[in-house]
Amino acid sequence: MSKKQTLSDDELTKLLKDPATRRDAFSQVIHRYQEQLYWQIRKLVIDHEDSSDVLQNTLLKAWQALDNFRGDSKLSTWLYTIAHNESLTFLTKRQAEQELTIDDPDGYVMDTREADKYFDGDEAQRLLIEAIAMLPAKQREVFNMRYYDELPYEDISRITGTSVGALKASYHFAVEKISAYFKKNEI
Amino acid sequence: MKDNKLHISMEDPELPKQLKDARRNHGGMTVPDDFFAQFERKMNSIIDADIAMKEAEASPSIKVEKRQPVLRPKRWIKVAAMVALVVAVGLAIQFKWFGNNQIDPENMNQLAGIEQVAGDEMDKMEIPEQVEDLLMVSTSDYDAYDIYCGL
Repeated sequence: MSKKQTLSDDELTKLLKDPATRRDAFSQVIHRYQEQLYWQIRKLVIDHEDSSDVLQNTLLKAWQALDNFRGDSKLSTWLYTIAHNESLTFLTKRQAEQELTIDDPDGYVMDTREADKYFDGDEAQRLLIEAIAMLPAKQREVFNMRYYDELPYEDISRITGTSVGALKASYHFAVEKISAYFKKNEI
Repeated sequence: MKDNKLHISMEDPELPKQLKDARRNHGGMTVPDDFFAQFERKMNSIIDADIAMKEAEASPSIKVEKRQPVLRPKRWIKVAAMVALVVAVGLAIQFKWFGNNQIDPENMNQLAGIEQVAGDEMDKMEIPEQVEDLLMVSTSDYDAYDIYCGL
């Protein structure tokens, strides 16, 4: 366990590239990143069980695509990108199943938030989740990465494939909408 | 509380206390107890299964003994055998029933002559009126013949 905590991402990346050490190194990846990835996914997908499934797909795809990881970007950014794509794929599929639009504020995300049993936040937290859920998917995603995960715009740009300028604009609009939602609910 | 305005800066978020807490605890979303430890074990099992599957696919497959072709007669041999069987049975029946007693052509001619004479005699016979009537109304020659024989 101590070794898991002392290895840097660069060292871990080197171990992942070597077939002899790849398996053990990936165990460390799971241990180190599962929680961060889970919360990234959960904030988009909302439901715990669905998030767990998406996380499993994310890590399995990462394992299967290790040969494609050249190490140009950080390991965490690469994993976030896979999680991002898997989350959007899941939401698109669910949207098709339920015939909802991904940006529908009264749609999947709101319904799921209300149905999610793993939520014990207070009134402010409930309102924040609702306000985020009402954002268009792109703004929601940018807001989550910036606000919750405190990722720099450059990293978000690599993950989403969107320019930094566009991300800043998205975040700005997201904040305005959330503020308006809170004002409306007098917080 | 109303004084505590929401202000989220793009670069340096300054949040009301509730929202700072919300960020720390993932907006009130929770996970079941021991979820991440269980998930880690499950994920490692899935990866091991994936490795095992790939190894099985990569390993040389078990050579299956090439199935020896079953010696089966060709269709034409079967047909020829059937034909031969039918011919043999036919010959056997013929020899059993008729033996070598071929009908003499002379006897055949005699039989033909007898039939001719019998036919001429029949023509000369007078058919009773009743029979003639019956022959006229009967729909079947067999019925008429039955009636004629009955008379």
